[in-house]
Amino acid sequence: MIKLEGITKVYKMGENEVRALDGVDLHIKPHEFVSIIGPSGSGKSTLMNMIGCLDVPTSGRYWIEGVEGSKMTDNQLADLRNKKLGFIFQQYNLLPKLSAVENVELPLIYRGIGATKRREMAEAALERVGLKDKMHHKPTELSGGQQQRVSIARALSSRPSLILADEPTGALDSKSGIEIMQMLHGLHKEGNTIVIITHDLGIAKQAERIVSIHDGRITSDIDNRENRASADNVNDGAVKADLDSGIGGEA
Amino acid sequence: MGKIFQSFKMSMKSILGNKGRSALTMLGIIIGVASVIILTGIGGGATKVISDSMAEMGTKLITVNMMFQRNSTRSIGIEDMQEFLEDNPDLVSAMSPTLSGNVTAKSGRTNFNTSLSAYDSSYSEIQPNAAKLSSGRFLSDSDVSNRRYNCIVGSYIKEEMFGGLDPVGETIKLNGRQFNIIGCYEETSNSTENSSDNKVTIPYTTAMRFLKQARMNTFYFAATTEDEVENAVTALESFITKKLGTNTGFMVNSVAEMIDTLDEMMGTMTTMLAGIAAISLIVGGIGIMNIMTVTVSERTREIGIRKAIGARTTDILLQFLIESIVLSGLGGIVGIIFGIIIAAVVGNIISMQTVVQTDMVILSFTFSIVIGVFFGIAPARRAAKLNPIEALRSE
Repeated sequence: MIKLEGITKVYKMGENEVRALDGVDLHIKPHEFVSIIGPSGSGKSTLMNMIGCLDVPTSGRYWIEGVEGSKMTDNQLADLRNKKLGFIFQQYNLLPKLSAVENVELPLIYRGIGATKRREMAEAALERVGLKDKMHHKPTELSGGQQQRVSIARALSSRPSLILADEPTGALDSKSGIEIMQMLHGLHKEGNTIVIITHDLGIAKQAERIVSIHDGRITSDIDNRENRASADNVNDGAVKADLDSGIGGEA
Repeated sequence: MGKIFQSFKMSMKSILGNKGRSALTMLGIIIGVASVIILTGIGGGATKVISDSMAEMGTKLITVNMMFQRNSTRSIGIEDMQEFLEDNPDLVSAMSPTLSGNVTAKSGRTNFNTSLSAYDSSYSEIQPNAAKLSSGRFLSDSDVSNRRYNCIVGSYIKEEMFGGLDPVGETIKLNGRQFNIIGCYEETSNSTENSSDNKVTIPYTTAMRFLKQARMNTFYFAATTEDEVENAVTALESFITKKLGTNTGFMVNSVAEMIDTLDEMMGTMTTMLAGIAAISLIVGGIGIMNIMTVTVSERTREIGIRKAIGARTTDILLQFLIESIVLSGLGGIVGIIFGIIIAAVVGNIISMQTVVQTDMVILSFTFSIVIGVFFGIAPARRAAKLNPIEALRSE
């Protein structure tokens, strides 16, 4: 479904070259629930940008559903993001002047879907996250957890191949964080492919598969289906200890 | 099409979401467009007033003015003009020598200054509009050939000297000389002292003797048709040049020509005014560019979000370009409305009908749209080219 082969990204900072990603190979299969974990500066944001088609690599190749994204133009990448990807950001990134439902409609506008059909799809997505009754509220009238649910609805509305969540619980209190994670688990059960980027081990270990990244390289890639934590016990010390040995004491 | 409509809706939202700033941004365009409409409206009104009054004189009228030719052995007289009239029946249909001056009019105990003009009987053919009578008759051929002391008076004289009663059959003293009143002109401008209603007309032959003028210096001709005016003017010029042996010392003018000249002058003036107004429109455009640049900086994060969820470069470009066009277009519409209202108010104050020119309305609106495109493109391109990753990172 998603395949990265020898992805390298080099940033030039004046005279210096920074290798944010250094030959990353990664294969994400359909219906997987993967977490990518790493400390800040590890290159996980750059990796997310690559997977999210927001950036093109310096070298290496990248495929999403058989389409090669590493050589695309800006506009082709935009279309790819629009059709195949749903983003969930730490800061929700809703447009403050638009109502919840208008925010959810936004990706559909860029896809060129007509107003009636668009509203139908947006309402269905909001219903899925349990916010249909608040569809005409502005983001500022909603709590953080509700805003994040709107942003999940926005990611869902375009029925993407992959939901890409960047620290989805980072700005939330623990109760809302658990709610959001439960929702992601629910979406996974419904057959969605989900990738979470986080530095929080408690979040990471809820995934089926944990990929750790350090200094632009993947340092471990473990199958976590056996030890998988549920959203309710994110602070389970025993699991944390298990994982700490597995991924080299990161996070 | 759907996307453009969406962009339009989005830009309306963001413009209405910041009313104060949008209004200030549009102010430059509003003032520019309104001044184009007001200035050209007043200019158009003035042109109309002047050309209407000229057209009133008759578009077939040709005037020949002779300057004094002291050292010249040859000169032009009534006979020469008569000769031209007889030789060119296809060009001109009537001729009248004319004299004018000021005289004191007296009747009973009332006396005041009035303007005197002297014509041939054919003047009523040359300028039928100016020879409309409310009573009596115009000068006849025998009045002219017999140098009769007959006159036609304006409605001011009728009001002042005869209490508004028909003056025909009465007498009036002009510079002490008694004249019989044979006709009275129609009122043309409220019968006030300084208007064209304070006048008296006598035969030119009488005037030559009465005013001690040996020679006539102004002649009126009527062209056979409006189309012949130009030919008649040319023929008169070459006729007089031949008689005088020089092409200086005289002028041949036609009303049609004067209207043309006036229109041309007014056209130049209108262009100049429009040019000045265009400068204020450009200044307004710079204001829009300024605000659009600020808007793009403020909304960097929004642009990042839009790009992340699949907005193409062209979608962002279109959104900001349309926002700029909507700003300038709205400014244009508001400016047109203000312009029409103010032109009407100003027209009322200076008691002259202002003529709002439709082509100027269309032109200034089009121009404000062009300004929106021209000054909106740079900020819109900046927005469209933003890197989504960096845009998302901005606060």
